[in-house]
Amino acid sequence: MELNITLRVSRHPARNGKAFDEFQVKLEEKMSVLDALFRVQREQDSSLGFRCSCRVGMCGTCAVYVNRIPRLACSTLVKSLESDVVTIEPLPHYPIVKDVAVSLEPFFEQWRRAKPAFRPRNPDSAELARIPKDSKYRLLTPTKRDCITCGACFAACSIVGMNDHYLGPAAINKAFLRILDPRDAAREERVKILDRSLDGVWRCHTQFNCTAACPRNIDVTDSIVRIKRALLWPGRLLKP
Amino acid sequence: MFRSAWEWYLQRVTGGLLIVLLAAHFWVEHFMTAQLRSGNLTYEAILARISNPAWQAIDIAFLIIALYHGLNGLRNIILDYGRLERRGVAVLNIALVLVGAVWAWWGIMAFSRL
Amino acid sequence: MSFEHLDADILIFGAGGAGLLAAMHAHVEDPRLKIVVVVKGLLGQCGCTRMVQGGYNAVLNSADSLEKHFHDTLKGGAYLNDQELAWTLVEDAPRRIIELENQLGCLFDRNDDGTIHQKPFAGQSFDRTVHKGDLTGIEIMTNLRDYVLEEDIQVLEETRGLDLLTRDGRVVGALVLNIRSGQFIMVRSRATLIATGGGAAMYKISSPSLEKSGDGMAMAWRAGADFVDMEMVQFHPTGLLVGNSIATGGLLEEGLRGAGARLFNGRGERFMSRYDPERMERATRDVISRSSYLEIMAGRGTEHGGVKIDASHLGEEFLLKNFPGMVERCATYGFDLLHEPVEVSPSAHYQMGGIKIDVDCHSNLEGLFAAGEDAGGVHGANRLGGNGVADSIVYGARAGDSMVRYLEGARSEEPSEAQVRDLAEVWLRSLKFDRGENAFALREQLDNLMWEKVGIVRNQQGLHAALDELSRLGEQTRLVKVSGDPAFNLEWNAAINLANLNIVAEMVAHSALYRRESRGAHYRSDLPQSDPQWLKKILITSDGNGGMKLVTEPIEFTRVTPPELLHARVGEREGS
Ligand SMILES: Cc1cc2nc3c(=O)[nH]c(=O)nc-3n(C[C@H](O)[C@H](O)[C@H](O)COP(=O)(O)OP(=O)(O)OC[C@H]3O[C@@H](n4cnc5c(N)ncnc54)[C@H](O)[C@@H]3O)c2cc1C
Ligand code: SF4
Ligand code: FES
Repeated sequence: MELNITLRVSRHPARNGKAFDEFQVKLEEKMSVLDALFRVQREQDSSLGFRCSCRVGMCGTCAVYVNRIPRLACSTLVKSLESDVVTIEPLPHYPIVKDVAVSLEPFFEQWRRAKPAFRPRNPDSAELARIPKDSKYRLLTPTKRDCITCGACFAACSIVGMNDHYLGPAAINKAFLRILDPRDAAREERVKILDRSLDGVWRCHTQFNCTAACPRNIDVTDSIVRIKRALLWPGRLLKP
Repeated sequence: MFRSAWEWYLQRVTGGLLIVLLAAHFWVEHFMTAQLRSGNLTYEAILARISNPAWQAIDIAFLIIALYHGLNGLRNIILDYGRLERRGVAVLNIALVLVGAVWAWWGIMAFSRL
Repeated sequence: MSFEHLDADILIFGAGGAGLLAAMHAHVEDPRLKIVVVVKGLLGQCGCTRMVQGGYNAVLNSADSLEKHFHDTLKGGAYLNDQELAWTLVEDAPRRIIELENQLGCLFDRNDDGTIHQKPFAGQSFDRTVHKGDLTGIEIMTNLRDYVLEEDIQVLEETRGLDLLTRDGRVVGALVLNIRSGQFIMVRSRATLIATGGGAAMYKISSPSLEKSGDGMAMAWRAGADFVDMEMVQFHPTGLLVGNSIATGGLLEEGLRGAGARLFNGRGERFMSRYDPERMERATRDVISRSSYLEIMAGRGTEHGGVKIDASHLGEEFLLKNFPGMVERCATYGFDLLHEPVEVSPSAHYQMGGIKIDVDCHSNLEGLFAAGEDAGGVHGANRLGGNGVADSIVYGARAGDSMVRYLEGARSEEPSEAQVRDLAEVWLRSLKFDRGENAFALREQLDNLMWEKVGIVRNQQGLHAALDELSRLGEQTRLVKVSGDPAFNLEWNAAINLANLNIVAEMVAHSALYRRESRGAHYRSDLPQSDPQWLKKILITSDGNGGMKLVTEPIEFTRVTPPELLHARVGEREGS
């Protein structure tokens, strides 16, 4: 089966005064949005700017707005969009580098604020820590640790859109992981950052936009809510 | 509990209380008063009620709860828009506490003129 | 032409496992050093370490032993390994796992009792592969990235190394391109590490991340580095087949076969019984890939020119628990791994060969170090699954330590501006042509050529033809025309990639022609047997005029004598 679609691609800087270019693209049945971009690049307009690395949903560099929903270009089959016109734009809330490639700097600025690096309790231990089966860390985090920092949640979050200071979903999820980790020593420090009224978890309105956008199906909202609960009743989560 | 958690928590608690208090307020002011029902509502009747220390306590609590909820709600909206930096937030906090304090004082003082 | 200038004590190319471990170790060793990491993609979000699925081999169980891991590694490598390099890998691997967990915060999967879980991988005598589900690379790279983000280590993202700068045979810095702005940067450095992760992407069906293009190897080659084992290219047996999609070649991980998944040809025969009845699907990668390839070539492939992997008998529950990432990856393209066989093909995966190093990652050039996939010799003729990421972590760390030691005596030398200018001029040329060759079209030709003639099965005639074509492609590459300006110009970068891959491809083809036997991943249909005479390395050095000179070099069997030599010696004695 072959697909014939019109690919509308947002251009930045605008080309010939136009903010969008339209391309007629022929695709195979199992081709993704990333394939469509490559087809355009190779056959019609080599100046197209986009980003990718792994092409199998692991690196998180190819997130774009596809018909106004943040998605990984490499993991979104064009067929699944059920539309003859596919519009590709850069993710919102980020400065644009070129066309549909953005700079994730605002995302990582917040990520850095969340103190993402591990602070080991026993850095010199020569043993691997024993983490029992029923520990909160093992129960709650395995899927949440698969965040690929694609920035989709940050683009989808309406609070991020209003508030440049807000940590954003992924950074809170990161802090959540570290806080739950029995091997981490900086729990207090992390919690203080999350509790800040200007830009911490309390700005979240529990809209679930992040969870809906996450290509790795991480329940980011759940992490945020759990942090809120932990701040209310520290005993429940924060005691090791 | 952590500081902002307290703020959040109180917002919920005051919100809950306001539902009750507002309903009660409307009821008391507009429907419950016996005189209102019998058709001869008098200044003295109202005065008698608001001179009652129990009613005064309820009204003052109502005032403070409403002020917290309203002003903190305003603060939340301002914070959500994220236009303020750290210093701005400090100034905002002080300003809101002042507004609240003056307002509360003003309200409470009203009873002293009875 | 204008340059930005940057000074570094340590300059690192690549931010995979090797590059970032080196940065971390050097920084811990001496926090005052100015460390600059140059990475072609986004920090932590590019390269193959990120894409590691299966896991990391390390001896962590008292019932296992370093000797066993070492023997497995040599056996897998058909005894072509540099034994000191292989031993160091095996010896350091457990320490580095502990470091990844206890200092960086990775958490690999645990057994119910809280101890580390290790899973089976092909070619191993013990279940020793440490993993996080079936997406291990994300766990490693995320934590490494988080560390680097918070430390005083300068990272230049979307910036690529173009050429090394040399002075009297010493590497003194590099010419670097900021991809976003199109601006050149001249970096002066006292020690430089190449960790850009190989060039297996030069094949039509391949698994590495798309930005990798043998840059480090090509840079090192132009600067005068020596290479070993370049004929050894690993093909992973189970790359997805998704038509002409860019996803083709993306992998289904090895653990599936370790867990018992089966391979069938187009006729539904379990063909491994023909090639390796004993180990079947748990044979090493070289054997499986070649067997699949031969099946396909004999006309027994599937509709789309592949074979099928069937994991359905393992059960839905087992697969969802152990391979959720693979199930999801298949589902993305409409394949149902839980219930049906999925079409796969061998996929070019990894270069065993690379820059010749010693156990402290020194290359033959002063000031130049190499680690990870760019370095050669650790894996011999074939790499075991799970030894790749271990290699990059182990040798990355060693490179970091080693560079700090080296710096104690090293001077800093000013690179010559004239050299920088000349080099930049070469790269800029394609932007100035009015008409010329198309980089994308040439790349496709290269990928097809390598697949057909320098791929899984090779022969003398094909290799000769390939070398001729490669030199023609090299000529055409010099005539590539690129439109637009230098800023974020993907076509220009594709042209640079092409030029680098051409060099690496040539090394592979030359070396493959030179090795007159079959061994490990290198299979010659005209010389299908292994020959004990050929238990030696092929070294590629410069002939002084920019050409390649190939020589053999004996392997020092410092720890284990290969069985085939033992037999040969017994044979000699019996004969005499
Ligand atoms: C899909 C896949 C699955 C794998 N699974 C396993 C597994 O389960 N177990 C295992 O042991 N091994 C596995 N491997 C192999 C393993 O990933 C590699 O052996 C190892 O990660 C290589 O690490 P590296 O640091 O050398 O290179 P990489 O991790 O590839 O990093 C290279 C870095 O260099 C950068 N770079 C490239 N060119 C330039 C340039 N010109 N300038 C600056 N930077 C540049 C890249 O962007 C990247 O950051 C797998 C590989 C792939 C592709
Ligand atoms: S939480 Fe999900 S959407 Fe957000 S950055 Fe991580 S993977 Fe992307
Ligand atoms: S290219 Fe890596 S996630 Fe899409």
